[in-house]
Amino acid sequence: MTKDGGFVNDGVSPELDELRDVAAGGRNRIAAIEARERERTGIPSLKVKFNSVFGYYIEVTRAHLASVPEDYRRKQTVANAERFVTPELGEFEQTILSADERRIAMELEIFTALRATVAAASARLLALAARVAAVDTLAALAEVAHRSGYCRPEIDDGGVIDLADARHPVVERLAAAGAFVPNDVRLDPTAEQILIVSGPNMAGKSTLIRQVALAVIQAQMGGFVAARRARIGICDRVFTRVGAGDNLARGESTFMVEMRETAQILRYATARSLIILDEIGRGTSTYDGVSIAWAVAEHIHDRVGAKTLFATHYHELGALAAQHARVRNVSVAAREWKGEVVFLRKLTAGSANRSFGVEVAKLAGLPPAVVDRARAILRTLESDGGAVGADVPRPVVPAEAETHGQLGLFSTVAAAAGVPEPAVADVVARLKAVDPDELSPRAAHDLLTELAKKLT
Amino acid sequence: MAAEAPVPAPAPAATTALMRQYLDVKARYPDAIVFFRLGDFYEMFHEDAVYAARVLDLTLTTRDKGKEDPVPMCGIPHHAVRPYLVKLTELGHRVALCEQLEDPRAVRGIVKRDVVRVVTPGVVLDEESLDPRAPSYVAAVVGDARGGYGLAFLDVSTGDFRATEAATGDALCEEIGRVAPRELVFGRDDDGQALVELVRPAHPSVPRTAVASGDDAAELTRAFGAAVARDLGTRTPRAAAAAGAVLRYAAATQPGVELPVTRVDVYGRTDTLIIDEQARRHLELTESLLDRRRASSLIEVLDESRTAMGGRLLRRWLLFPSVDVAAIRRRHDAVERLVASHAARDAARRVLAEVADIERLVGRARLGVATPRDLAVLGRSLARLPELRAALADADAGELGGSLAKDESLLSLGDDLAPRSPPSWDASCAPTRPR
Repeated sequence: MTKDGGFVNDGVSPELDELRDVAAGGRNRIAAIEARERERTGIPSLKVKFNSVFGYYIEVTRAHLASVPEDYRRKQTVANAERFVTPELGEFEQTILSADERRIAMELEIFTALRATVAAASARLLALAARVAAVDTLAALAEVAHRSGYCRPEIDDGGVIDLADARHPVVERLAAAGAFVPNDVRLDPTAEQILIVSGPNMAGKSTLIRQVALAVIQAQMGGFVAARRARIGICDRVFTRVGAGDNLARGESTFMVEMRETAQILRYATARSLIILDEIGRGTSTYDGVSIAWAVAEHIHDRVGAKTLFATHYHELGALAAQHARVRNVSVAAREWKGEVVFLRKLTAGSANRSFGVEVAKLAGLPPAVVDRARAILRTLESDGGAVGADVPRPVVPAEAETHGQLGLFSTVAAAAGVPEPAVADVVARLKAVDPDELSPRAAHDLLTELAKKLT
Repeated sequence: MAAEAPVPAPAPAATTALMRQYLDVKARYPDAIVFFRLGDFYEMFHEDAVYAARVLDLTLTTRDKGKEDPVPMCGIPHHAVRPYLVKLTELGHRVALCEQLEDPRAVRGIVKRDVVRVVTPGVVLDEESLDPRAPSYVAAVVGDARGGYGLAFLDVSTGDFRATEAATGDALCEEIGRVAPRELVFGRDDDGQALVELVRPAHPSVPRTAVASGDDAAELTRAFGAAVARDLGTRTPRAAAAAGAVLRYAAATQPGVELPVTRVDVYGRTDTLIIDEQARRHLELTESLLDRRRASSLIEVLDESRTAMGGRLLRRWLLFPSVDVAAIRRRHDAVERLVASHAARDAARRVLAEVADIERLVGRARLGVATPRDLAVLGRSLARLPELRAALADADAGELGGSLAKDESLLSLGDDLAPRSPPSWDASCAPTRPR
C-alpha cells in the first residue's frame, strides 16, 4: 500500500496537495490530448491509455490506421489495434510519475512524523487510555449489576459477612429464570465464625459456599454482588480447598495434594481471611477423614480465627458446634417424597442427619436391585448403632424450612406429579380462595374437574 | 527455554561476505533462532535450519551445493512468516528478525542487515497473536530465600508494568500464578538456577529464559530517571531489581526504539485481596475448572466492557481486588451512579463500542510498528472521547468523564490520516524505524 500512498487526508500539507494537483492535472491534460488528437486525425475511436510496461500510449484500431499522422511512433501491435507513443505523451508521463513518486514519499514522511508525534505523546495518551478503561470497566460492572439485579454491598473493616438472598452469579445464569434458590448467609468472627454446611450430595452445598467467596471478590473488586442485601467486611485472603485434587499429572496422590493445600491454608490464613473447605478428608478412610476434618475445623476455631464455610457429608462434624462457641451447623435442605429425594436448596439451621446417598444413587440410575440391596444394608448398619460416634437425630427439615421452602415444595409436588410448577401454584391459590361452605355440590364438582384438568 | 532449543554450535567458518554477515548477527543473538532476510525469504542456517526444518516441517536444503561441508538452510516466504513465529514462540523459542535495512537496488555489494525485533513467548506485538482481553506479560524473578523475592512483569504491547515483592517461595509462586506471565526471565547465575528450581514445579509450562547479568539499575534510571530509580531501589529493592531485569530483557528485544513504558507500579501483595491458586481455579474466576475455557467463568458473566482496554482492566480488578475500604467505596459510588442513570450508561457504552484499543495502538506507535491504518483508527477513537465525556456529564457521573479529553491536543492526533486507509500494510515497505 505504501507503493500507492493515499492514506494522508487532503488539506494536511499544502505541498502534498500541490503534488496531487499536478498528478490530477496531468491526467486532465491527457484527456485533453485525447480530444485534440481525435479532432486532428479524425479518428473517433482514438484512445489514450496507460499500462505499466510503457506508460501512456495512443491506441488506434486497425480500421483507422491509414489516418495515423507521421509524428506517432509505433510501439506495439495487438489484435485489431496498434499502439503509438508521442514525445508529448512521454513528457507528461514523466511529470505525473515523478509527482506521484514525490507524493508517496511525502505521505510516508508525514505518516512517519505523525507516528513519532504519537510516540512522543505516549505517556499522556496511555494515561488517557487508562481513564477510558476505568470508565468502561465501571460501566460494565454497572451494566451487569442492573441486568442481573445485584446490590451495592456495604463495605467496612468489621469482619462480618452478611448476605441476604445471595445467589451464585454464574450458576444462576445457567439456571432457568427464577429457578435459582437464594440463601441468607452470615459469618461473624465473634459469633458465626465457622459454618459446618451439611446436606446430601447434589444438594447445592458447593454452590452455596462458593457464592459467598464470589460475593467477597466481586465486592472488593469494586462491583455489586448477587444478593438482595450485602454487608462485607474486608477480607485479606480467600482460600478454597474444593473437591478431589486433579493434580494426578504431577504424580501425587489425591490425598497428598489435598493435605498439602490444607496445610497451606492453615499456615497462611489470618483472622481476616475467608476459607472455603469442601469435603476435606475425603481422599482417605472415613475415620481418618473425619478426624482430620475435625482437627482442621478446631484449629481454625481456636488458633486462626478465619471465617470459614466447611461443607461436609460427615454427620459427625455436627457435634463440633456443641463443643465450640463459634461453630454453627447449617444444612442444605432435602426431603424424601414417595421414596425420591427432593432438593429444596434452602439453607436452614441445624445439621442434616441423612445423606440420601442411596436416593441419589437411584437418581443417578443405579439398577433397582442394587439400590434395594444398598437400602437394606444401610438399615442394618444404622440399627447396629452406626459406624462412627452417635449423632443426635434431628428432623430432616427443621420447622422454619416450611415457610422458606414453599416454592421448593411446589417444585416437589410438581416434580412428583410431572406437571409444571406454576400449575401447582395456581391450583393451591384457587383452593385457598374457596370457602367450601359456600360451594354447592355442583360447583364443587366443576371446580374439581377444572383443577384436575390443570394438573394433567 | 524449552529443553529442545537448538544448541549454538561452534561458529562455523564463513566462506562468503553474506555468511560473515549472518554469523555476526547470530553471534549477537546466540539464544534466538535467526530469521535472516534474503529478498523475499527469511532464511535459517546451520543448527537453526536443521531444527526449524524439523519442527516447522520445512524442506532442508544447503546454501552451497556440491561444496564440501555445505551449510544447511531452510526458508520461509516473508509474507507467510506469522504462523511460523507463532509456532516457534509457542514452543518456547525466541526468534530474531533480521531485516534488510537498505534497498538492494540502491546499493552496490552486500545490503546492510540487522535485527529489528526479537519475538519471544512473552514479547509479542502481532495483533493476531494477542488476546485483546488479557495482558501478555513477560516477567522477571530475582532474589533468594534469605532476602526475599522480587517479581516484575511487563506487557510490552501496552506498557503495563508492575512489580511486587514476596517474602517466601510459596508467595512468589502464588503471585506468578495470579500474574500468569507468558515468559519468565531468570538470571543465568546460581541464584537464577535456584529460582528456576523453586518456580518450575508450580509453573512447569511457562517458558523460561535465562539472561546474562547486566546493569539492571541503569535500565531503570534510563526509563524513569535517577530519582525514581533510586527511590524504588531504596524502598523496594527486590521489586526494583526485578523491574530492571525485565526492562533490560524487553528493551533488548526492540533494538533502536523506546518501549512504551512510562511508569512502574510497585504494589504490596497485602494491598490486594490475595486469592490463592486453588481458589482462582475452584471459584472459576477466569476459566472453568473442567475445560479451562472462559465460558461459564465469573469473568464471562462480569465482562460487559466495550473496549479491549476495559476488558483487561476488569480482569485485573477481578484478580487483584482491593482491601482499601475507601477505594472500594469510590468504585461502588461510580457503579451506583451508572446503574442509576440508564441514559448515561447506555450512551457511554455506545460510544465506547466505537473506541479501539488505544493502549496497544499507542504501544505500536512507540515501537515503530504502527501502520497508517493504526494511526487512523487511533485518531478516530480519540475523536470520540468528547462524546464520551458528554455522555457521562448527563449522569451524575460528571467527574468520571471530567478527566477525559482535557488534553484537547491529543484528540486531533489522527485527523491527518485518511479514514479510507487500506487495511493491509506490507511490512517490507515499512519506512525505517526512527532511531
